[in-house]
Amino acid sequence: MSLRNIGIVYRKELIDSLRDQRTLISMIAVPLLLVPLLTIGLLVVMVRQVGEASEEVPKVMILGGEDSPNVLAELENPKGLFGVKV
Amino acid sequence: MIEAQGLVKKFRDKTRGEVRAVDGVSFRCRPGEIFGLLGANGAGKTTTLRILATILTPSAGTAIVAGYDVTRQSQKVRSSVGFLSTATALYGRLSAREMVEYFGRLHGLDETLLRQRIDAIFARLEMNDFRNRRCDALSTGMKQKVSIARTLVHDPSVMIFDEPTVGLDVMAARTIIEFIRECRDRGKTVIFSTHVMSEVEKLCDHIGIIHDGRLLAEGTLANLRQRFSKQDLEDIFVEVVEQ
Repeated sequence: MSLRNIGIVYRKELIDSLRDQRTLISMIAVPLLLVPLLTIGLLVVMVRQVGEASEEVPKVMILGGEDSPNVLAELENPKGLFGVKV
Repeated sequence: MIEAQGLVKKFRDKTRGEVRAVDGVSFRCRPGEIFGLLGANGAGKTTTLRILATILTPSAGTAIVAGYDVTRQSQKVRSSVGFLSTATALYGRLSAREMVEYFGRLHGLDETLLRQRIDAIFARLEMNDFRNRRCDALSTGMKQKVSIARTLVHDPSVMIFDEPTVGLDVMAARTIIEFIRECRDRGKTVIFSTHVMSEVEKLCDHIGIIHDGRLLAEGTLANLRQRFSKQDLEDIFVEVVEQ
């Protein structure tokens, strides 16, 4: 097929597609609505999860530790980690 | 001019094995003449016409259409042929004008000539009222006219009609029949397939009766009447097929 004919067919297909409402909706309207919604939605979920994670006090199991009183003191700090003595 | 010489088309079928849809068909159709291929469904009419229009390649034999060989010069054959069937297969979202323009451009017409041709064809077929209306909003008769205009836009010297009136109402069928006559009167070579006897009697200068892929009888209506000593074409057809 010659380049000229490819151009003729391309032009016809373009006109045909642009006049098809279903194609237009799926090509333009859906991405215009869905992409921002998905982006904002994912961002909100991520921020919420990061916030929850930063407020959570992790539990740490301590085995022995008598020889490291400074570390134990730091772990028992209420703003730091919550140590469980075994 | 169309000259078919020993055309054969074989297909492979899972259940039936090798099927010879066209089996050694030879005939000649001259300019200014309508050649009618008369046959029942599955007789091989459409396959024969598709070979002539270069849609199918023959398994054996040859055909010369408008002076070009259908296998070796298929591009030239296509530019000399107009093919019309009942299935209009129009692009619904294009207007009647855009549709004809599209095919005209694909046939390589320049814009000035294309515009002149479209204006002339649209005027002759009385299509100006709906020239800018989308094809999916047209009636069956209007769609047929668009299909005719598309077939004519490159001014082919050979016209191939494959059961063009099947499923059409009386008015739409009349448009087609008149158009076929007009093609003959303009000196075009016309080949026409049908299983409607009355259309053959009304239109055809030469008749070929095809059955099981073979051309069993050929001649003018007067020749066939004389040869089979029958007046009614349907009786002649039945006798030829049953022989």
